[in-house]
Amino acid sequence: MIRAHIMPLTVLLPLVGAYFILLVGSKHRSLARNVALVTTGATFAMVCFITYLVSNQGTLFYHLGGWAPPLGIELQADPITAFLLLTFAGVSFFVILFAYDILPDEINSKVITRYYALYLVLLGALLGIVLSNDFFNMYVFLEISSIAAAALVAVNGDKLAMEASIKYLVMSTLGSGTVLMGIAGLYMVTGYLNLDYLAGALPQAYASYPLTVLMTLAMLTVGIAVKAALFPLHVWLPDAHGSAPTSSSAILSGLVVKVYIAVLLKLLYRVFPLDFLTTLPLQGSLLVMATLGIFIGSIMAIRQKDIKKMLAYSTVAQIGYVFLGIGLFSEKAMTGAILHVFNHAVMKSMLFLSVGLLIKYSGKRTIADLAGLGRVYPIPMIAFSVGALSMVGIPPLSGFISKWYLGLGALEANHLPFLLVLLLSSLLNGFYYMPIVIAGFFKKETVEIQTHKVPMGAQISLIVLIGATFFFGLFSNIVVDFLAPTVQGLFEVFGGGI
Amino acid sequence: MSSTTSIIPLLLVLLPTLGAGAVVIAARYGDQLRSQVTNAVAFATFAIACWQFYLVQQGTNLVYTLEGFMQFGLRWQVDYVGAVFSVVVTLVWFLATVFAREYMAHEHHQTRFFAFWTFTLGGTVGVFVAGDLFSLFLFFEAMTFAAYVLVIHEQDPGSMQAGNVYLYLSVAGGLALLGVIFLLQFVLGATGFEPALHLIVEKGISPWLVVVMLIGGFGVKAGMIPLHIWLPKAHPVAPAPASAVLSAIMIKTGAYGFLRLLFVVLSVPDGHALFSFQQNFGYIFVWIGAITMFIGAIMGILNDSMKRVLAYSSISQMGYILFALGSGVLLGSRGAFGFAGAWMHMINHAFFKSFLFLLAGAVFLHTGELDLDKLGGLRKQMPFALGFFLVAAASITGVPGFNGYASKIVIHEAILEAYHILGWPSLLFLERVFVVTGGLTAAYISKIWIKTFFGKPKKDWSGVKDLSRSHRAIFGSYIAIVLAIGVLPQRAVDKLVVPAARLLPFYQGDLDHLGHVPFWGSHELLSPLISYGIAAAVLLLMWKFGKYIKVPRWLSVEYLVYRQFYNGCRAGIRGLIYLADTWVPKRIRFFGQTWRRVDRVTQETKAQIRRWKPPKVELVSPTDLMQKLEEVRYVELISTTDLLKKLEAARNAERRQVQVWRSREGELAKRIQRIRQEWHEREEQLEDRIYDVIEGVSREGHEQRKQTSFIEEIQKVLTRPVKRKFNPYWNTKNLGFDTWIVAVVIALILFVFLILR
Repeated sequence: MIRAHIMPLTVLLPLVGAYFILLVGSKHRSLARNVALVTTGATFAMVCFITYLVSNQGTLFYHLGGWAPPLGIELQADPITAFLLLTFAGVSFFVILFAYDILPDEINSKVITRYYALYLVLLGALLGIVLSNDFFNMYVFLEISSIAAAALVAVNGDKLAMEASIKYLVMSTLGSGTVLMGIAGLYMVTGYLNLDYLAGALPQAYASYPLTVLMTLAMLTVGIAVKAALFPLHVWLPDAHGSAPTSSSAILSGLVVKVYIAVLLKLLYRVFPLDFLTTLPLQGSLLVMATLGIFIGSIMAIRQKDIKKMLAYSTVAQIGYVFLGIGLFSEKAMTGAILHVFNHAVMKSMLFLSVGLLIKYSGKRTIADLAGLGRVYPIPMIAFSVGALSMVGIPPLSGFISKWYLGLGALEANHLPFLLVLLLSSLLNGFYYMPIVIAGFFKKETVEIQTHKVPMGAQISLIVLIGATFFFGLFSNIVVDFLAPTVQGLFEVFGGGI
Repeated sequence: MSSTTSIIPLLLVLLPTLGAGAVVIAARYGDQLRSQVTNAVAFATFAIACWQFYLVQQGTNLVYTLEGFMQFGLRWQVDYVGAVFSVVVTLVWFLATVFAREYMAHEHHQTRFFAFWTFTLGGTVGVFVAGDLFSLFLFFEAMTFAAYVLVIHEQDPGSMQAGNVYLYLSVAGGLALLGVIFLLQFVLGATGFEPALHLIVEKGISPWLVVVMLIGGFGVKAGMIPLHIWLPKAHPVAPAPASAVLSAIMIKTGAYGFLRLLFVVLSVPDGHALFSFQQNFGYIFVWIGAITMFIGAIMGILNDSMKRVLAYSSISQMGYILFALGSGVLLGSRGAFGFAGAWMHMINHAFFKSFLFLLAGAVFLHTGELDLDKLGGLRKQMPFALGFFLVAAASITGVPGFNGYASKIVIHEAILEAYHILGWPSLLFLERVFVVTGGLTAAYISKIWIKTFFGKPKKDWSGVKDLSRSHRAIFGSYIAIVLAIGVLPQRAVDKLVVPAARLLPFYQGDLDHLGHVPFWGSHELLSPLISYGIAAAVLLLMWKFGKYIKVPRWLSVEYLVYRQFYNGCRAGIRGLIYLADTWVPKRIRFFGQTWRRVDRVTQETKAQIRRWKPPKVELVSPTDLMQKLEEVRYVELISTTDLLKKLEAARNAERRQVQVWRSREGELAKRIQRIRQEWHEREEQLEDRIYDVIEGVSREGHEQRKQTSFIEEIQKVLTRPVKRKFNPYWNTKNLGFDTWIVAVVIALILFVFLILR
């Protein structure tokens, strides 16, 4: 039974968990975190099972309620989807594990049950977006995720977080509105919402209504770009990610931004044929925006004094890398983009979590105040250093692999300047990450640091994340081999590659 | 050449890398065991390197591949070049390790030092036995990051700053090297050392890009001017053993990279269409080498700290190596002498520079002083140190019978050969630069030993002891090495250089010629006399006029290039941020203000027009006026034109007065605006502070409330009347603006899509 209905159950499980938490959480507060931990763990296990099925049987399809696609809702899991699912479920499980003992100190005890519920709702929405194979379903989950994410930012109710959250909400509503218009346009010209049917019907629709199809593509792309914080539509991100609680920042920066990229991938590579895309100024504008985002994000990150804000700006830059990979329209770059979605999810959540710990124990948020913390809190500081070095792209860490593929993709697509962009921006990454590592380990502390015991759950999850950074750097061929046929397929189906 | 798979190169890298862990574990059982383990690891590595050299000498290359490591596989390939240099690396490292035991005895963080020391050995020796560029890059980065800990060992502000410069430049260099790797992987499908220049050009990539990235990648490590700025900062602040290996071994990784890439990857056969390109960058290298060696030597003379002089000396000597490399590349297949000179100087410099740095460390260990102006008169207290120093000095200045002499003769031959074959006059000029630099080298080295061991003692040295027995043994073995190469230079060339040169497609006649380098010709034997003659002149000049020579701060590369670049970047970024944060919003606000201003001006003008009354004018008849004028003219006896001129002058004066007033007006208006702005800012600050205070008060209240008991709170909640709160945060400052920007951008993108498709 489970095997047959695994996909909808995976989406449903966190949602049911959220409902359960709200049901019992008001009376038994300590139960909430256990339920959240178990639910995310079970979701992770189920996603692992889906991945196993996908790797054995190829792409999975599921028709909800037995209704066939043009009318019914379809879920689909191909290797890329499975990989993204694994990323989302895995990282969110380790974030919850990290927060097991830490969250109660950080978040007002009145709202903590609601926090866990929102977290699970967000997770369910993320999985739903990745799994669903039709636009309307996707849109519904998109809305759920943006509302839940905004609530996760504002959960503590302090002034900065409220302001950031409202900004986030307004911006992402703008984005959602644009996306909705785009979807409506597509439905209008083709009569379908299912991605495969859309792809089939689009050429004919384009012949009859070229302007409308173009308009919808533009609206979808721009709307997604707002939500994924592509420069210059990133203005909401630094505030929202910088002022949220630790675990929220980790999941927002690591996962929520990425899910829109998954949507964009589906849109660009599965719905619109490649030779059609190349006639538009889409590639140029994506590449330019990505490059500007990389540089301006990095420069703004260098200028920050607040460490969480710095990490948030770094996310803007890293999103630029992913968009660069998508915009290059080459196989290697595509692999690089998908790998970077995963690697950045692991690295950035690790960075936010370790920084959260350091801020919590030292009580300081500025970069200069982190001096000497490495000796007192070795594990968080090592986690930070590994993440930082990986961001700079030092082999054998995983960040190097995604940059390697992006760079080769840039060469493959005959865009040499973007290789230089990649190298130069790595240096900029070094400029803002290295001082913290140096200060943490080698600078003498100015004030005496109090020692606290780092909770077990936090230690375990940080160690696992460090291990993942090393593992996916050293043995990246596992992932690349898993993804390769699908990525090739994306380029073969339409246009036959460039 | 045949190649066999062998685990030895893997062991050579793995032993010190894992040995670092062993050092940490051994440190738990006491310092004694730790130093024994450190020495044992260093010695075992040396032994493996010797065994490997023995195997390679038999005529087989050793190859090992670790498949599946990061997808690419880690490759080791040891040919003659790698085998010789790994012996040199491990030997110098072993000697420095033995030296370090006594030197570091009173230092802090010894375990950290020795662990990273051993790990760095693994990375460094890995660079020389790597089989492809990617493996080389991996070891290179491992070495860079591990050596950072050695550089900042003291952890005082000076060494931290030096470490920063070292680290950032190294990371930048590593990324440039990564760029080369990307290109090689793209054109070759692998990163092995194979000729790839023609493939790169075929793909439409500019070969100059490759050369620039290469110079960026290895030039930083090699201390090439102007990328050298980290070197004179980082080498002096590290502990003496660390500076010895930094200066003697680690900068050679840069030279080694150039050697591999220039002679193999970027080389083309003579007569190929790209050969002129190869010649061009060879020529550039010769010039860079000449500039590096000359400026390095000058800076060596001008500095007064022993280790800084030696660090600049390293830059200068790396200049020799680059110079020889360039002259080899310049000649293509005739460049055997250039290759031989560079290769031989790499080996020789490794020995004598570590010798000198360790000696400087020994002097520092016993006197606690490195400043040449505070040292002096140590010859009675430290006769052994003086003796050793003279040997090292003879070696670096190229006195016959010591090893520096051998390589300098070969380099000199190389540049002369380039001149004879190509006949470019500039090459003859560079030969002169080479000779003069030899003199400057003699000058700064003589300055060190004269100022350290002779002259009046500046301090009371009575308690100073001479070198300990173990240190004497180390320096004794250095003397043996230096003399072995120096006394039998031809044998060294035959044994070390010619088999290495045979790996490359050099012209056979040149290789034969290498068998008969005129080491003992009369002209060659006289060269040290020239050097010391120049040195005597320079030192006399310095002694007479040295106090007048002060290098201005702005004349350093750091100031001229890096600081300006940094300032430029900073100003640019500031400008951008000003543009986005201040200028644009101001302009947007400006529209509103302008409209209001226009409105106000219109209102005022209207009011003025309403208020206007015709001025009262005395009506004078023209005849009266003429009469009056005539009267005036009559009284003052002036012509009408003069009168008119006067009138004109008066009018002009009046106009000028008006102008002056107007300018004042503008100034005044600006001042008023500034004051208004200041007030506005202050107001804002005050507002923020009030906000903060309010928030703080409310938070305190919250804290207090927390302390009250749960039941009380429940009661409060139950008794409190329900009221709706007004959320003050809806009125956020930036929100409106950002939303507008996003909306505008969306509109723009849609516009682009629809109109410009």
